[in-house]
Amino acid sequence: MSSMDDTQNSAPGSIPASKTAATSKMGNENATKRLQHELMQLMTSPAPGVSAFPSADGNLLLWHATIEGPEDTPYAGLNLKLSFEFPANYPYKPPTVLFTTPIYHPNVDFAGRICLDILKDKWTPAYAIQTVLLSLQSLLGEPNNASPLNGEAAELWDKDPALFKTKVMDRHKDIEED
Amino acid sequence: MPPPNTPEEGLLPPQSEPSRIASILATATPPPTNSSLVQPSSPEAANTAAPTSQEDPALLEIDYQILEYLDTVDETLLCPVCKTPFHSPVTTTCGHTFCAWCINRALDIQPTCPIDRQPLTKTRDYHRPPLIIKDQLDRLKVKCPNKGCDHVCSREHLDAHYERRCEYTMVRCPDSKCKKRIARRHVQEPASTCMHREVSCRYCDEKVALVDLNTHYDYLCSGATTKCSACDATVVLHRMEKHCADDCPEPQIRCKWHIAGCKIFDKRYLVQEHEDGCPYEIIGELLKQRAEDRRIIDNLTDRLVTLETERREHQERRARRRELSRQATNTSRGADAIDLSAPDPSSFFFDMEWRPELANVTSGENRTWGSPEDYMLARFERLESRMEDLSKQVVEMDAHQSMSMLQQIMPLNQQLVELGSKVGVLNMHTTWLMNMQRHNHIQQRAGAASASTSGLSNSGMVSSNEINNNAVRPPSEGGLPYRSTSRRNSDGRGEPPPRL
Repeated sequence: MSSMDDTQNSAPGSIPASKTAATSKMGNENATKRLQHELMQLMTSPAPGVSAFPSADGNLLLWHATIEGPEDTPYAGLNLKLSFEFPANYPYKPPTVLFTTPIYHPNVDFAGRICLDILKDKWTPAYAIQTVLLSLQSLLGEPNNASPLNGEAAELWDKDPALFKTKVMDRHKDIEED
Repeated sequence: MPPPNTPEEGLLPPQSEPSRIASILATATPPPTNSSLVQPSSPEAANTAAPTSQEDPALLEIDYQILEYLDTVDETLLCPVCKTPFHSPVTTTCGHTFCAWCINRALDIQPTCPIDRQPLTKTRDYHRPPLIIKDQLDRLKVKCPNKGCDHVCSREHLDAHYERRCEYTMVRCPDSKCKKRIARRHVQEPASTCMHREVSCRYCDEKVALVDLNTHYDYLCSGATTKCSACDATVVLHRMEKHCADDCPEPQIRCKWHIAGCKIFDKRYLVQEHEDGCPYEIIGELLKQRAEDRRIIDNLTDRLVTLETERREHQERRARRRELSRQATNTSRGADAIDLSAPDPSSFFFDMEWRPELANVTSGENRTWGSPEDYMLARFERLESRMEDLSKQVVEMDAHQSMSMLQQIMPLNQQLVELGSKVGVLNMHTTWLMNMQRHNHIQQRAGAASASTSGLSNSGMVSSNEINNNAVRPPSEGGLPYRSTSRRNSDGRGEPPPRL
């Protein structure tokens, strides 16, 4: 474990209510610890079709992940890359997740931003990287067309699956890992 | 000072609900965040960690989130928030269990259950988790969080180990003026010496804190290495003596089984190679075992002897006491006759010699004995039974030893028997071969006789037996390969060897 800030705890029981400098540092430490455990879990019991790893520069708050497009969806056979950015008070606050691979999907905009409730207001600290990735994987097959970020895609999904598939393949571009 | 950070609420006496919850919260202190727990060897870390809090605690608290567990912990025992085994768990009204600290923090940000999003209020909606959870947590085997300490114990004992026994725990520097922390094992007498004062290194110009001196010599010192004259390795000066005594591969040493008769005496690295498969190892182990047994037996014998002498002493005393009491009764009778107000006669024979034992009787045994005789008798009985026990143990030991001896010898015996049977078989083979040989010779002789009678026309015919046993060779030519006399004699029948 890298030597983090050596902030001695304040008095026991004083659960941080205000976001002082000290608490944010402490949160950072906890985020790192939790992410270490998640990394361990991802390595020891990986879920099929999803993988994640911290970015190469050793910053544990920045991860890269990959989702394999599920069979029987327009994304079958595609490898989709994502970036995770964790706030210092993770897991109490959700990570910022972006698709780095260009993707044509009703709930993803052209910048890769994702509209998924569990990444916003429905987030709970019980979620983890693996569960988020699995949710995103199922989102690929079952988009929420009621609240689309990409209206055209939401329309095409039901109307013209063949054209949708073509658009997906046109938009998809394998990117190099940075 | 708050109580040690233990999830002990299950052991607390029953309390009213609110106060119990309060006690849970009191013990559920946030995990400490300083990394000096992880790296206790770096005094700087401890230094920056300690003075930041207003009240410097005697010990840093254990960070339960970084504990290393020996076995894989069942997922059901992991807190859904921190993903580590629960520490001071609480169960919510919706039935989910979390570390108290984790759920508090989560509810600060969002007042719903992290699992099912049911609205929850801090503290009010907490229950005590089932004790079975605590038991399971207590049983988890963990490594001591102190770097350098290999202690492994169940989690319930970790606090005691960390707080009282672990030699690597960072404690306050014994010098009250010094704010740094120091590993317990580095605290030296006199207890007030600060181990953080700087001394100059013996080999280089650097100033080093006293506590780091050994590390400095071993790893950091620039001017302290030298070449070992024997093996050419670069060695830290400070460790030279140890190197020559234990590590240097060049000096000649004896095999460690030399007590068992191994004659190897060579350079260390060769001997170390040899020791792995030393044939004397088995014997050496046996000898060791025997020495151990011997020691135990000697011990027991010693105890037996002591007991025996004790018993004898007691018997003597008893006899003397009887004598004494008889005298005393006589005297007291006399005294009764003379003066009724004389001191209690019993106090007379409880004179000095008996007092210590009487003290034993009352204070040591917590039992009241009718009289000193009863007490002595009871003691003798006890001694006798102990002696019986001991002799039983000796017999057992003896049996044990002979059993192990027998187990060693049995395979050897079997091997001997096998060898014997093999020799027998060989013997039979030889006899059979000899007989065959003899038979051939007889036939040959007969053949030769008939050949001489039937003339040269038959000389080309050779008996098949001859082909089998001799290289094809005219019978008139000399001896057979089996001619050596020793072979013949091994036949054992004393018959003269067949000759051509």
